[in-house]
Amino acid sequence: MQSWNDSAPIYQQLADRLAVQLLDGAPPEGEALPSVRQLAGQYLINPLTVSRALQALVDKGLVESRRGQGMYVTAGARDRLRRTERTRFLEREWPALRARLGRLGISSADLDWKDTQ
Amino acid sequence: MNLIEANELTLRYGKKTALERVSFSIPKGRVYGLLGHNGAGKTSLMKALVGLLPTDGQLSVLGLDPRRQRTELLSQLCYIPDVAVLPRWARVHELITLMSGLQPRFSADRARQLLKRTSVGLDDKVKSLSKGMVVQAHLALIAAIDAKLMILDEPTLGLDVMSRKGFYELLIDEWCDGERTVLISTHQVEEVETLLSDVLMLDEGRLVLNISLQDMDQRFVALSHDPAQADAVAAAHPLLRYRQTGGRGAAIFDGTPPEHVMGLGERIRPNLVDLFMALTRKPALAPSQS
Amino acid sequence: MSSRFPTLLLREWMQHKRGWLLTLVLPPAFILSILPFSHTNGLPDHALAAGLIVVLGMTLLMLAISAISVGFQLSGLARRDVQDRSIEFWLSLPSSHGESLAATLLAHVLLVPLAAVVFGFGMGYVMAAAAALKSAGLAGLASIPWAQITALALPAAARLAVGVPLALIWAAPLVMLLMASAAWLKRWSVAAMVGALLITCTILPKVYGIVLVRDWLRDQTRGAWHALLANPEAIASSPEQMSNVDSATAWQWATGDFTNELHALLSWQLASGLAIAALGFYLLILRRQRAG
Repeated sequence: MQSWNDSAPIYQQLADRLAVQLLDGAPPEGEALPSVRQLAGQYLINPLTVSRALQALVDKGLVESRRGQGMYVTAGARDRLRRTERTRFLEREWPALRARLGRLGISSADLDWKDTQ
Repeated sequence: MNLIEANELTLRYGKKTALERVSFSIPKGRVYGLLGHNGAGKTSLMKALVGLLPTDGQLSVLGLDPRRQRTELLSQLCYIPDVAVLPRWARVHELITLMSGLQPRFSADRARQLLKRTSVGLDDKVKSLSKGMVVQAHLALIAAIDAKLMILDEPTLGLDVMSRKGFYELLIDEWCDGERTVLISTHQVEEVETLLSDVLMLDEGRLVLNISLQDMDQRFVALSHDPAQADAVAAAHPLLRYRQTGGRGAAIFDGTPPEHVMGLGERIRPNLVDLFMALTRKPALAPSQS
Repeated sequence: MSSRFPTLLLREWMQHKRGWLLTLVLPPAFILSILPFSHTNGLPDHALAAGLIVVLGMTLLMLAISAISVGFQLSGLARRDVQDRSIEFWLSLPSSHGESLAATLLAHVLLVPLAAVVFGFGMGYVMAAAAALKSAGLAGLASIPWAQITALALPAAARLAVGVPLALIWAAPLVMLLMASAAWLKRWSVAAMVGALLITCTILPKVYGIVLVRDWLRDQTRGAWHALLANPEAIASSPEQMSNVDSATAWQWATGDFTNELHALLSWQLASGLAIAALGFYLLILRRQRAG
């Protein structure tokens, strides 16, 4: 049941998780997200918190609210998300990772590198 | 209109004070957690809310006086008391029949529908059910009452993980629709944290915190820091200091500490368990508006 | 609101039906089973009298068994929900304390004994038929004056049936005090009641000359007995005389007797009894309020 850490508020962590799923194409652009109640039941989180998470996605332009129909993935959301995640990885996570690889003496030949697509 | 209005509620048993000048309001569409250690006054408060205990002060539940209009109030809310035991001699379908006759807002069809989610059969005798199944059955029966307010007193006490999970799933799926409110008391804070929208914290009869989780994220600041910075952090008088797994130190402040203190570490989420520990061992804070 | 009380009664049936049915069925079943081996010589030769004795005897027997069984259960009933820990469940449902207690009392103390009277009456006919079959075969069966028996037995049984609630009104103070003491004193209630009886009926009169309570109890008990079975001698005192009594006379006796007992209700004795019963009921409500 407990799989939330203390890095950020719960709604933010949920938003991040949903964003990761969007990146994977679930649900695809133009399709509807599960309803607030469905998400609440799935993650066992208060519906109000789920709404805040969805609002965070709306604020990032990844998701839009269609009156009476729920939340839909916006067109181009996947690309936009990919771009921001790429930037974040390259600017924040990669330098630390590269330093670590250096420390461990791992070269690109050691890495099991495949085209990720 | 708020579903519950409590003002200066006080309850005394002889020399012991179970509740001391407790005031709060509870609106609709929320999941309120009533947190407190054993003996903090949670059960006393809940019994007062359903008219089983008399109190000093003003109390209005669903617009009614719980003590004087007890029967009418009970026909408008759902209540599972602490260690409530369903009558062991009864079969589940008999309980459905009895509740249909006693509780005007009860829907037998809804009860049967909710029971399908559990592994409890209509023909089962209560005494043949495991503890977890009894609680699930009880919740299914109670959730079939079309009421605005549900009061649960430590409903998952003594249950295994699967039963607890099933319980919370039923609650979220079938009950929380934005119009109804649940007040759930527990001392298993970590489990219930994500379900809550608001928190009432009791410590020895006094209300030490009354806040929405959203406001809690903003009001309380938790800092994760290198153990070497411990003294510097302590100098800023946090509410609580503790060790994280992995050896890092952590501290919770009420309000944002000065910048130089913030610079000593990273900001993390103040989780409810730690806040609970911090507040139920120290003098009361001024309760914020919820 | 209107379906609450019937539902509370239904609860009693659901919870106790097995015990009730066993108490009703076992005694006649037992008697029928030993009938083939018993002697039926004790009954008077006069068929009408014999039939009446069996039918009314069976009715009285079933009532007595039912009353004794209720008497034993009363103290358990007072603490029933507390002992199986379901009291908090019942208290979480909307029914007033008074309603709940009244339903329990009504079911066990009035409805079940009445059912015993009706069932016993029917069983009486079965017994009579069985006894006749056994002693004289099918011919014996045919020779029983069923119509005449019914003409006299029905009014008598009806009088008994309406006598039950009347007798209960007289017995109310004792019943309520017994239950209240069981609810409050738990294991000590029996000792307390016995002790109270001893004190008020032996020590107080003998040592202090205070006969008030003893006499009150005596009058109360007498009232209950008369309410139930006033004086059967009024009809006829011998089997031969009975054949002269017709249905109309029997009904006249029954209604007259009942009316007398109704009048007997208008007494200070009864009023004082009801006051005590009300106190007992109030004590039960108080206990239930605290049980939550």
